[in-house]
Amino acid sequence: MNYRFFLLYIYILFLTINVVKSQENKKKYIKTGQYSWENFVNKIENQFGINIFYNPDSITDFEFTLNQDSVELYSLLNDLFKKFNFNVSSDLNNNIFIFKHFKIQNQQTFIVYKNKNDAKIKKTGTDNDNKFLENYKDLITDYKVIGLKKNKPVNGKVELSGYILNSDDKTTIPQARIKIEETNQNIITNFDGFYRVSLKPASYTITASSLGMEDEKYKLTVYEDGEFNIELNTKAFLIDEAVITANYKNKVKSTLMGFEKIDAKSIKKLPVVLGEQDIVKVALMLPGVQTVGEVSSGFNVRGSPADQNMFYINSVPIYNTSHLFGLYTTFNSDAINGYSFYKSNVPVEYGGHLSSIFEIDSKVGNKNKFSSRGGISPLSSRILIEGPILNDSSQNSFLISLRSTYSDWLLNQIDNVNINHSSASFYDGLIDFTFNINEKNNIDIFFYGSEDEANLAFGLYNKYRNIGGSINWMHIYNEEFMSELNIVKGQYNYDIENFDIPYLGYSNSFYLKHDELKFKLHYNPNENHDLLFGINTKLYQIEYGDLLPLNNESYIKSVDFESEKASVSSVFLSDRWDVNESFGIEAGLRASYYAFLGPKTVYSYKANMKRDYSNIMDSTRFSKNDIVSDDINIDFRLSAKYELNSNFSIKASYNILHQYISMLSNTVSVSPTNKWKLSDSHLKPLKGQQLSFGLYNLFEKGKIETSVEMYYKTVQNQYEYKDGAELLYSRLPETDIIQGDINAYGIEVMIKKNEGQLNGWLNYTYSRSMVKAIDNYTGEMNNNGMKYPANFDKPHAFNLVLNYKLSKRISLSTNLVYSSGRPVTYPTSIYRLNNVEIIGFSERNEYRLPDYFRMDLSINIEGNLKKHKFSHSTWAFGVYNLTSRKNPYSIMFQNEDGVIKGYKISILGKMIPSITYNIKLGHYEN
Amino acid sequence: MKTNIFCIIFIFVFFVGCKEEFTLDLQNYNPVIVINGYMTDDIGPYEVNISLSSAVNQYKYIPYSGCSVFIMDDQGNEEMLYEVESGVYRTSELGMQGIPGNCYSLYIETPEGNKYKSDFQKLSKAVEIDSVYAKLNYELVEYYPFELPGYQFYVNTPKSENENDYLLWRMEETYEYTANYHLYAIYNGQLNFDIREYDDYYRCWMTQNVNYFYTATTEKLTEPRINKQPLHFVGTDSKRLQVKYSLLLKQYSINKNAYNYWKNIEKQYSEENFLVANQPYNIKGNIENVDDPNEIVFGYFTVGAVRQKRIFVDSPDVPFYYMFCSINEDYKEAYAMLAKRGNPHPFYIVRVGEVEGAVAEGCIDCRKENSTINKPDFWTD
Repeated sequence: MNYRFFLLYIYILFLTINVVKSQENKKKYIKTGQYSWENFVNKIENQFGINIFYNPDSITDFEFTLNQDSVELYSLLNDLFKKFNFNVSSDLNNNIFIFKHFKIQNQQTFIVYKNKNDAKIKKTGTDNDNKFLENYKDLITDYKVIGLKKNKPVNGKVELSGYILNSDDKTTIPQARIKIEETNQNIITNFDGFYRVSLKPASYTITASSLGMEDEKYKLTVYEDGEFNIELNTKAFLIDEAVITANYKNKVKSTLMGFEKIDAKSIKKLPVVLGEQDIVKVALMLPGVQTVGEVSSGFNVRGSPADQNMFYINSVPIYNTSHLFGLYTTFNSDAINGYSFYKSNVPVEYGGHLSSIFEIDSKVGNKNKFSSRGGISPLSSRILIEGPILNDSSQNSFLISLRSTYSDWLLNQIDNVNINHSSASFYDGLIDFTFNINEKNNIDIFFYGSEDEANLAFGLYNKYRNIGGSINWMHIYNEEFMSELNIVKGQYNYDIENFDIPYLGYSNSFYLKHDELKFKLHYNPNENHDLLFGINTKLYQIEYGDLLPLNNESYIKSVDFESEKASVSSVFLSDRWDVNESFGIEAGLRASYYAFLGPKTVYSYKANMKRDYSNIMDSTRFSKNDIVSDDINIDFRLSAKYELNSNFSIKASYNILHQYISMLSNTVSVSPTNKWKLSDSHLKPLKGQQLSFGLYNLFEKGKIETSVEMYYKTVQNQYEYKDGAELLYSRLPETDIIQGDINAYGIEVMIKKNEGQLNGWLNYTYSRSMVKAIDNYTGEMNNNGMKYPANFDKPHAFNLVLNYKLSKRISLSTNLVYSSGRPVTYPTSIYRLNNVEIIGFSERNEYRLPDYFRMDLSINIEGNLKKHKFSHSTWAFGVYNLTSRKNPYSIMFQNEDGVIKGYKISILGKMIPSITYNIKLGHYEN
Repeated sequence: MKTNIFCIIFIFVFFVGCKEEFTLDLQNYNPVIVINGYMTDDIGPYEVNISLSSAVNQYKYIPYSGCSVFIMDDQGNEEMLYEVESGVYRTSELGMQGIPGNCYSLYIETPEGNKYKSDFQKLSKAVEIDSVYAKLNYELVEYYPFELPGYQFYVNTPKSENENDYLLWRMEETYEYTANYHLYAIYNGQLNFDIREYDDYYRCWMTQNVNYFYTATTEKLTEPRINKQPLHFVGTDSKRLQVKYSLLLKQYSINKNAYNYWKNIEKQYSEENFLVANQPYNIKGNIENVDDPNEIVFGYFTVGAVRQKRIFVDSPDVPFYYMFCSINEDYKEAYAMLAKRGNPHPFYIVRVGEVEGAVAEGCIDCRKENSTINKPDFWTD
């Protein structure tokens, strides 16, 4: 409990410290008058016949007082703006420029454009009546010369390359755009923020842009090969919109299908349960992503089981992503920069999971100054602290985030014996150190931990934990080569104790260690190819933990479970080849060697018979690190895109993937106490294939993005449980499992509006997922070998997310979710045995629960938007399940004194309001 | 019964509705044959029940008449059972006796010509009952905001000779109870004290089967004995513990397959943890259609030795929560009003201390369906 009080104390401390008034732009001048800035500018311009240029969005209208009669204009302006880091400069014609990053130099020439789309080159100094337009398009350009004129090659091209960087923290910006007006080229920076373009020696006008950043325009004369880095500033005072992709052009341009990149800003705007932002819940609103129920802790992507998705945070593997029975996700969204979600076309650098990869990036600490933020919501509180290490000038920073709940305290207050004797609590946290050693080397050290503990009054205790760390070293050799080395250690474990019936009390624990070493080499020989080569080794170690009697009262015989160990060593190679302007191909290959290692005792069973204890023939004993069974598999990925025009493209992709670890579960939803199992002599690795095809179109100059994606996938060797399998005591899981097949197909339609006062997205998916559980080796089958719908088969799914900017400080957001109910095995008859009514059931998953519908709403009210203030706070009011629909999670049948009663169980079946208070140091944009 | 802890957490913490009763609307319903029979080492006769399953909304007992039922042993003996009641088939008093060590199987032929048979199962030696006892306990039940007092029953078995025992417990309860009040007089305009017969209707006994069963095994235990296995709980929310309560425990020593069957049935009907709902399925018994092994057949032919033990427990000194009878003191006026409309029924008057008034008939007459005013033979006083 101590650390929770500590958190509370910190908040109170911050709140009391924040008595510093936000600074206003008032200086003590002798009163000659009070002005608003815009009026002042007009007055001066008219009075003196000069032009004052500034960006109206950077300098909004404000009030100030002139308290001196005669003050030089230039120094007045200096006084007014210098403290905000604006440079005030003037040219030979007495035009005054007030900008943050621009200053008139002596030899500098400048060119003024009327507007972005209608570029007109104006010569220097001759035209006094060029004025900027009132809207905030940045029109000043900067002029650079690259190379010496005398060195220019007579024929042929030169190469211009460089990085686009975020000027705040100097991080590179992937998928940013550089437009070259004269050649009408659009170049996109790669994942490392690097661009390269071949040009004939000449003068060009280039504009660098990225969503959320202010455009930068440059005039360049290029004579030789050269490097030109561009820094972009974050747009100030721009209210965040629910931005989904980094650059709208990329959906059409890139060869990636089923890919979503979600940044922190979009996460913040969606309404969630109990006021906690949740990155996983955002993913649920994307097409093709489903869950089996409200508080299920996994999700299903394109008709596949939850264990076929893998989560990584800064390369650390996470095996259970939920707290409190699925209500919260184990990541503090304040600490998350964003994530990449690959839901079909998985890049070859990842392997081992058939359905999707979630690569979550944590934020990097602020390199310039110390900052902090946090929040309090009805059930939990969180805090984040970041800042530079050592001093401001180094490029090193740290970031610490912690989140915890006071649900224990809340449960104690409830006036019910069952509840106030139960407890449930969690915490999660992460620490990140970033060392930018020099411009060619960057090291990131990251730690993550999360833990959940629940003690239920009726004799069940359970604790589970995910911890891990990673070291990432990025090294740039030159413009063509870059490498990345990852060393990762991760662990998932849980402990359970059952003391419901004392003489049967037991305890059991489970450990899964997942360590990885990955080395990637990027090779960019030219702008048409992006090659990736690498090696990746994973080591899985699973300890099942003996089943032990809980205490002296228990008569349970302890059961020994053998541990498991396997290594997967892979080599991968991929290339993205832009054949020409419209056609691009991406291909990848990943060859893996899977070895299941001893010590292990392997049993052999009578051929073609039930794999059962009664059919054991023999056993073989393997020693430590002997290869018990091994497998070589090739993952393959091919995708192609064809752009009919800059707004429309067609894509197709095919991939084959293999998976070596599966979750053991015979329940409908994911429980934190499910174990994992590696493929071995009896249980073959899973193999998945997917074929997908998509159409992508942009409307309204990219403001509206639409896509239609179709897929067909199969999974072989899927673990399906024999009916009634008792997993807890099972020493030989292969006797409980039938390896069957899954066939899934679907079509996903998505419409997104990225910009504007009203933005959001809408998607509809029709999909089916069917299971056939007939084991190829033993012939055993479930459901008499007949196909049945998977537990998460939901034919129709519809999601709507809308954000509306009511004003600069208030925004509304709403979610609408509709889906078919999940399949369920219904009781179809009753009969009586031993004076007890027993239920007879239909075929597996023959029926369906009622449809799911939910609407959420939230309002975000930001504190004032002054740029300089000590702290900024936000109130978020939300309602989850606005229509109070009791969406059934499952149907339960209970025998109540001889009468069978059916109940629809719904969780969160009423309107749940929430209030969250968030606070952070600095102004809101940080 | 255990309450659903996850459900309750959510109800109270998040103030949400949790369980909503609902009725299924299923069109296709095909009755399935239900066969339930026991073969034990107890003195015969042995009974096999054959019925049909009913639609899920409404349980109805649909007996299946006219079947030919045979029990065979592995010594070459065979006996045909007689239908003594619709759907109830019984061996004769002087017929086959269950002998530990022998194997028995069941064979049925329905009037439609379908043939069903079970496998041969060995009647194993009985595991004895060491003790059956009750402990006063307070249990949380869903419909009470507090803990309900009552007796929790337990059973112990002695250390067994066998390494692995499989047990099934069924229970029958008999309890003595009384009406709430002694009848003082009957009022039909005036008080009538000729009520001697009502003396007999004050004290009753009820015998019924307990609607739960339990299973356990010593297979996973260090010591081959059962220690403090909880059976059912009898709360003070009914009259069962009002005067005296007797439990007759029947302990069946069954084989592993029978144990798995009953254990899975037990798990399914007492399934509480809905958050990680187990995939339900039809639990396969040991009887199959000879011509179509894939046909769904419900029920089991259980073969096992049986031991019985009876215990008595006295009424505990704790609060009781069964319905109390309200006494209407203004009965004379009420009767007069009814009399105006013609033919009022007689009022039953009781006297409790200073209070005198009318009560419902059930408050002075303990008789109910299946109850008796005659003390059972085994009843101790």
